Amino acid sequence: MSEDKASALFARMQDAALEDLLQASDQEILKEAAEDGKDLRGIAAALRERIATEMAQARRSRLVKAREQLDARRGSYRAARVRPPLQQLKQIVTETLRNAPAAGVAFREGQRLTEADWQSMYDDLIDLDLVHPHDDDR
Amino acid sequence: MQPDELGTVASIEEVAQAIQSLTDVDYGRLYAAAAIKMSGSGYADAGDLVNDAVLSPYRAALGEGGRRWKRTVSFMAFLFMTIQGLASDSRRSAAHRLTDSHRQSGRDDDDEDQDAFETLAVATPSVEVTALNEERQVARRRVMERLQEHFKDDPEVQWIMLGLEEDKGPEEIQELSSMTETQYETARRRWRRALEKLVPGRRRS
Repeated sequence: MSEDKASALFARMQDAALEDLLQASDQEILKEAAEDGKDLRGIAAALRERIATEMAQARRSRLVKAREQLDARRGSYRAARVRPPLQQLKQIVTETLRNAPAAGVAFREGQRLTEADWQSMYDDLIDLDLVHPHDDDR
Repeated sequence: MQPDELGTVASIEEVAQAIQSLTDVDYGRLYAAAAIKMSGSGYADAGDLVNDAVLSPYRAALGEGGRRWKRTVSFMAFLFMTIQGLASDSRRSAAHRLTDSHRQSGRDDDDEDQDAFETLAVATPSVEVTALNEERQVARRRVMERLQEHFKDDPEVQWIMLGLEEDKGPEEIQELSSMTETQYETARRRWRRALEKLVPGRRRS
């Protein structure tokens, strides 16, 4: 068999195996994992954590990019802001992000954020016109 | 994006929701698929391939590259297709990277030598590319030989392997072998499980 044919056959074998995996029931996958001593829970937990971290990074870079675009549009001018107290600021940011998912700015419950992070998010939301400074007076 | 795609391409919230809905079994299935498909690609770990596949529609929804998920396709089927696509892209780019680095290594030469080198690089694969191809060929051959040996007394699986060799579909293989659908599926599962264990590549269990 030529190497081209062997390569094509190997690709077909891989694809057929993937088709079979896709069709296998959850019970079969669980049974196979138990037979092979695979720790599905551990594999899933590690992947979930890594994916969540990278999703948060992607959202953050998107936010930074959006802020850079806004700054550029506004001549890189950002007035010195008077911010509300931290607890109130956190509440405003949390509520705004929950109520405006379309902004694509995500917020994860339980995520550890520094005071500077909260302030930066608050400023970003003002720049995105999702928070209006006079709202802080509530 | 075409206007007819607007209604079917998943939004960022839909993609995030689909990712959050993936169960332990789903991740196990994706990991097994990646372990099979990463053979011969630039991926050294199945987890890296799963990670890239799952993040791909998310990045696409953020407008930062990646593959867009259309809601008309199940999320799991889409992720399987993405794993296949990323592994193939990686396989090609691994060879390109080696060729590029070989070309780059000649940059300090004078123009005439450089032209001659680039002509040669296009006409003949680099030593590294040849070595990579040979390594893949040896690994493939080893897997096929082991499968043949493992299933030499299993006529049902032998039919499946013959069918794949002849590029026959499941129905045709069943018809030729007189296997029932259940017999075929059970045999294909035996074959897939053996393949999973034989395909080279680092994995954790």
